[in-house]
Amino acid sequence: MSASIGCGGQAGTPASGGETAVDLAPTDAILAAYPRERRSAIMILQDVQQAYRYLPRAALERVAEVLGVPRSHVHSLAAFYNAFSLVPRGRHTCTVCVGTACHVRGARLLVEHVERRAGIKAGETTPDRQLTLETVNCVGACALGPLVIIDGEYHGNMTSTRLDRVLADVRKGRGPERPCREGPRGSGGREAVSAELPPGKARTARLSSPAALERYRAQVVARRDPRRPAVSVCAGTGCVACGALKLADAFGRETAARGLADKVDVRINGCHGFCERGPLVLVHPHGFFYQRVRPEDAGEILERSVLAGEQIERLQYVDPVTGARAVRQEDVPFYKHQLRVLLEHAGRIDPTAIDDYLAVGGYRALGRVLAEMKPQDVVDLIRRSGLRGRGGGGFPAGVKWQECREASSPDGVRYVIGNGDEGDPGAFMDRSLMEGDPHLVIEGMIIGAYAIGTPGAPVGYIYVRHEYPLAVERLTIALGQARELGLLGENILGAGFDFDIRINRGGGAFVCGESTALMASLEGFPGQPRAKYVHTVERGLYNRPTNLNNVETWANVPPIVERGVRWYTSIGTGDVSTDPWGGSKGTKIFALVGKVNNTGLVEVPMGRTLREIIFDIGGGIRDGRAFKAVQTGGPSGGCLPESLLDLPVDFDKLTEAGSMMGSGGMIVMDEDTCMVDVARYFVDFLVAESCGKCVPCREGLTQLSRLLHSITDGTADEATLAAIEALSDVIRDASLCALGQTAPNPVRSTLAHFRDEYLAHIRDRRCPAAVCRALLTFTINDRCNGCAVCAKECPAAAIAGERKKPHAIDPALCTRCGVCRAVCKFDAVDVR
Amino acid sequence: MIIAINGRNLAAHPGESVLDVARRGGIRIPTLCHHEGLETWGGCRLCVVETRRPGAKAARVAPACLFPVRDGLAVETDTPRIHRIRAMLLDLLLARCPEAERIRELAGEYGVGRTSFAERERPDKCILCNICVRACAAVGAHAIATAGRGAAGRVSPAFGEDAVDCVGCGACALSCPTGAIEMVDGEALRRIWGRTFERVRCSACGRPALTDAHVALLVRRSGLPAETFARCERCRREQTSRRFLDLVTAVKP
Repeated sequence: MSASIGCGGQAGTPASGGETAVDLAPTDAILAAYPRERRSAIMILQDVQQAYRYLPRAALERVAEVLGVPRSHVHSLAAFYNAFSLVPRGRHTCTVCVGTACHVRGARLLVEHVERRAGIKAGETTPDRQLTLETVNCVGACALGPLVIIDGEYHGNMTSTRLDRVLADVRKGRGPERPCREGPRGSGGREAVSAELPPGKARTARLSSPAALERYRAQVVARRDPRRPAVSVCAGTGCVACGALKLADAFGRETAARGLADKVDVRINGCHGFCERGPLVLVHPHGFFYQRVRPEDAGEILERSVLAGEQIERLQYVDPVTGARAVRQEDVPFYKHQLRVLLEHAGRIDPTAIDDYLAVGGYRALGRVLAEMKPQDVVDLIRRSGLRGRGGGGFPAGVKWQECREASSPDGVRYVIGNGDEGDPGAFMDRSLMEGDPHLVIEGMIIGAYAIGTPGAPVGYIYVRHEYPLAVERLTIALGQARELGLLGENILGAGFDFDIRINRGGGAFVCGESTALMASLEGFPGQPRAKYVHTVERGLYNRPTNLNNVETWANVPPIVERGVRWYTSIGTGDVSTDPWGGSKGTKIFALVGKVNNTGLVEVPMGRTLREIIFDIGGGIRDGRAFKAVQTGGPSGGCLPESLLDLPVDFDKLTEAGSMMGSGGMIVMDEDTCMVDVARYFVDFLVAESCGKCVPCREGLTQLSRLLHSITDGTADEATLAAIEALSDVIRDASLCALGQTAPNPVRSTLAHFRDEYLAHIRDRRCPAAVCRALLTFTINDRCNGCAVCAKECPAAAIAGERKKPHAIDPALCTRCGVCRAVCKFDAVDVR
Repeated sequence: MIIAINGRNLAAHPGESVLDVARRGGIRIPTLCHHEGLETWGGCRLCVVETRRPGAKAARVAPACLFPVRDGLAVETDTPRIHRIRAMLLDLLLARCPEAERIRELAGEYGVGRTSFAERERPDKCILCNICVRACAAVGAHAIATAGRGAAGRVSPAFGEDAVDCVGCGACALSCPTGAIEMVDGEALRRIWGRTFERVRCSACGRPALTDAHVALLVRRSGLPAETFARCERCRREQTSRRFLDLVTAVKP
């Protein structure tokens, strides 16, 4: 595990060999594209990493010199963030996602498989510099787990056999070549230029008032024909990984070949959410919904569905329980039980076209706010709506806005920030919003900036994980378009209000989702949190009052303004009319992943039960297995057992149950999931992600991990549980930030609800779910026909037998790696 | 304003921390990462105390070095809960640095003789308290920083090699609470961070004083001539007190 995507292990030892002849021209070109501020350092290093495939010392020295940052600090940044490597990487990169959803579907076996095949450990490069093996903590394509990224291309539902094939192709040069560009990567450079320098385009189209916006909108709508035939291809990350872009190309070719280019639109949309069944296609105007569409289906869809209005049954979704065929999206149970407010448009509009957003009423809320409301009215509105922060803590947004608005700033400067550093493994709703409906987030932030008042600093930031390049690209395009129309920049809609937004890409550190660590990172420092006895609304970014909200929180703002408090408070739980903590209002998007039939993004009103979400929408557990637990809240959350399935899901109920909302990841586990292994997984995740500032988190989690490993290794005794509990208490009570304070939650909740499983490991040296390897026994049953594949693949040479006769495993030699079981085509390997 | 520490009422000023007030009142709270001349870090957590704001239902555990005072605040510095937390923290630090004397001493005070955890492989004496890094920044050299994260982090000069920006001032080694940074002083030379520095001789007494690189940095930062920094610490203090005396006698009626 460890922070192996980057350089964690080799922090202090940069490559010395072959460094003499580093060409600094690419470094200088990168430096020229960014403002000479410390804030740019992390993004510059990302581009340098991209250009050289590592960070050469000479380049780091140049960056330090040009930015005026001490060399030791630049080295410290390079060694802190996962995105960076101080040693040269291979020509090809194989990145295995080890996020929770991928973990419970066997990602670790894939890592070990490549390690064995290539003879390197994760984080290392083969001696011939051909291949680097890395792990990454969730890229937000959880529905496709286990997921492997090879040279930037996503491969979902990976198996070790297929991985061998893909890697062989890549090595032979048949696969995609890793681009080794001389300059900054497209999106980074564009962001730098368009965000920091005046746009080159003439601002002729700037809208000068809310009324002008409405006139422009009317023109857009008038130009559109709702009956116009079109195909919409979902281009969320999940569908792209399944070939959605090739499908869109195929539609383009087929329409051109039929001379339909003027008559039929081919649209690329944001995520439809039902990632399990991608690529997804909607056919307009009939509204037909097709799933698992391949490029060769494009012609038939055009001929039969678009032109002739026929349904193609082969591509329709069939309910596995009732056998009913779904014609339209809303007929699919996955969608039928949802209430899509934030995701309403994400799958229907082209996220790269602002006119699409305007056509569905976009920026109307902003127009109304600027025309009719005073800033304080907007704050009051948000406070009365009961909106609570979607990043995890559930702090009432209106209260935060009010505090920030009232906080004194020495020079009047106040900042607003959108937190798009969605680090919880198994959560990808923020990614989907930024990719599928970026203007919704942007509009929310503009309204927030107006309400809070940012006269001294008419610029806010969106901090996006570097693992989300598509989100960065879509946001960058959206910001440019909003600027051109006068919805961002100086004198927005002629209202005398200035505000702009810049994007900062993160460097790959989970802790940067914590607000103070995020702000440190934004300023160009390692992401280390500070104590919040003085709140960030008083002293945040650059010590100025700062209002940070999660991007999903910002996305709630335009619908609240447009549809009102009464509507918003009618959705959800509790009563927020007097107490902003009195309930959870509105909808919440969950990423439903793991061992559930329908994985994907689910938006429901607060207060729906876990059972409704997992069984009515999620379609129950895969392969007819039994439900065991659902993990919510990521590494800060907990595992809830079957007895809590009727728990209404809101901020307070989840916290009471020993878990938390977190950003809304919901990882379903079945009887094949070992709860001790899950606890160990999350603690190991946090050991690698702990920033190292405070002792209880840094040293405590390291020791907690050792204790849990002793249980899964079968070397623990019952005193270990008491030691785990005592240590967990101290980590919770004494850690500096929320990462450490909540880190014991996965351990405490599994101990509370699944203590028997811990005891089975300790007393009986047995893993009931047959996951913890040291406690397993592999045997070959009589289904073995002696094909000898397992004997050939066994890395320990522990399998022997005559050809065509049943084989046997020598338990003394067996390392319990599970390869035999994975390669056996006859289900002849038993594990106990 | 008044705050109560262990039941004793003490005067406090806005902007002060609980630790500031406790130390002034002679109440001992153990610390490792705190240094009076440097920005507060809040990493070792050894100074945790129980605090209760007026009207608060329950006491909360908070680090005294960071917790701001407010009127009516009640603080307990040595409850069983606090004792348990500190003992556990010292147990953890002892597993990290079994050789560090300061840690062994403190651990002994809290009843921890040997760590109950697995000791680190190849332990050194560094507890990652960050004092050296902050001291180096305060000097203006910025020669060292923490590289790597979490338990894998270590204090390191840029690029982990020759300490290119080190001026040999010794602030890091002198402020380190566990003696983890090796510094060897000779008559004319000082060795630290793998580098050797020449020491300037005191212009008054002739004993070895600052390193020449340190003097160069001070000259660069202050704009003052090199002679300003040519005295050893003892002679500089003498000089300063003499000037004071002169001033005082001059204004005497």
